[in-house]
Amino acid sequence: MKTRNTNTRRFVDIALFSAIGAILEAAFGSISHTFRMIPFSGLIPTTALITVFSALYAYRRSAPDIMLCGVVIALLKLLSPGGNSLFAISAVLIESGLMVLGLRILPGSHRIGLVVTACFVSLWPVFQRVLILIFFIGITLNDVFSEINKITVPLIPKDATSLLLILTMIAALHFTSGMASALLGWHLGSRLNLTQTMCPISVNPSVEK
Amino acid sequence: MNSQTQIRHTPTGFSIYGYFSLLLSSVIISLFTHILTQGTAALTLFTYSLSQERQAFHRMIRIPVLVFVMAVVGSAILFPGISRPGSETGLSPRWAVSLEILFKTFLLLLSVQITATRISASQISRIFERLGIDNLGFVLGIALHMLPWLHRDAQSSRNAMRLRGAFQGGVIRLRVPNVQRNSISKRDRFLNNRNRLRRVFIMKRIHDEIRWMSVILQRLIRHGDTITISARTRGFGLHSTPPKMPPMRRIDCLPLLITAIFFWGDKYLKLNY
Repeated sequence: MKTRNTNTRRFVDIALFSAIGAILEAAFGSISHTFRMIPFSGLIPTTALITVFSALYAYRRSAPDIMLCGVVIALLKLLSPGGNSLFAISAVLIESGLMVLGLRILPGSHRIGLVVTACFVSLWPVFQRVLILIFFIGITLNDVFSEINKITVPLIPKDATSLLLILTMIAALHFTSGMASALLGWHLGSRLNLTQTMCPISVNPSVEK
Repeated sequence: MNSQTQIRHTPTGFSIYGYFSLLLSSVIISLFTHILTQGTAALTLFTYSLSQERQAFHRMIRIPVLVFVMAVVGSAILFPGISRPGSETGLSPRWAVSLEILFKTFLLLLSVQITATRISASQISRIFERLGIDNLGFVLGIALHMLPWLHRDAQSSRNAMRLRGAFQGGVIRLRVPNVQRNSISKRDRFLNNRNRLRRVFIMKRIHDEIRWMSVILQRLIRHGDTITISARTRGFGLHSTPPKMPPMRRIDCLPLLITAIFFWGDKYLKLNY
């Protein structure tokens, strides 16, 4: 006889959130990995991932669950059409690890801790993209910046093409999306706690008005 | 994925290890080999599925799957990006990338369909249990089971919400009449303005989408209750005996052997990944 001290409900919850995360990663990841030219396309699956992690954290209030959720999402992502690259898998694992690390360091039980962590985690796709371009494709740092500059110039005013401004805009974009996704995840996860206390939420949106 | 599929006779003589190694081989080939090797492997799997696993092949050839694949491949042709040039094939980068995605997609989807037809979620869990990571196997098995359920449930709840007036947009009326402004209290005016803002198209749309996500999550959690109860009833998390597994056969190593041959071919032909 073998004894397994497992909390079944905990693992079931992790599995459910992993399924949602895997679907989002497979859908958005497939699209973003084909749009390789746009350096911010990795932001879309990362935002979805942060939302799922935040909802899981708001629901379970347990940081290590996020790591296991990330591992399962990475394994399921291996089987998706667009996510079968080592960089995509490593991004999921690193983002979940950073999320756990941030929630350990910052006061995670508070909403601000989660939001700040999510803001920094959302910057990871840019770092990873730059690292891949430099170390695996063999482009120099100047080429990376000129590539980003070439893409972002149509998006910003003509007299404001300095590198510092572009980097600030990229960071602000990622910070904003990370903050929004963390707040959305917190909102969704907190409402799940209401479900546990038998407080129903109306399916019909028009009834509430 | 039901009890009938577990006792079905497998034409190639693979046990569950064989199908698991087939899945593993597809993942390894799609991750680490050249586009030509991926194409050869996809062709091999296509031949195998046509001869032995027709059911899995027909399950893969569905219109939503084909539309998704065509969208991904088409966007790769339009936006090739910074990628490997595929010099050995003589193709331009955009065609090399799109063909690579096509081969990978075909290889993975077909192997997943074959494996899902022949192996149940509990058998996947057992394989992981034998490797000593039983919790991961349990979580992975449930997550795999939930994927089709999620798809159906998301669609049905979205349709139900649409029938009740959600996702319909709204009327843009931001100005409050002066009569109301003077007659109602400050708090009521704030609430009134908030409701008016919700009627603006984008705000209402976002509000409905968030509500839809909330509905999906709540139904998922309720479904999780059922899974938990049934898992506890069947003995997960309690005292349990180690699962009995069929012995591994020699033919189960065939997919991994073919993968090794593909790798050797990659090295022999000096194809750079």
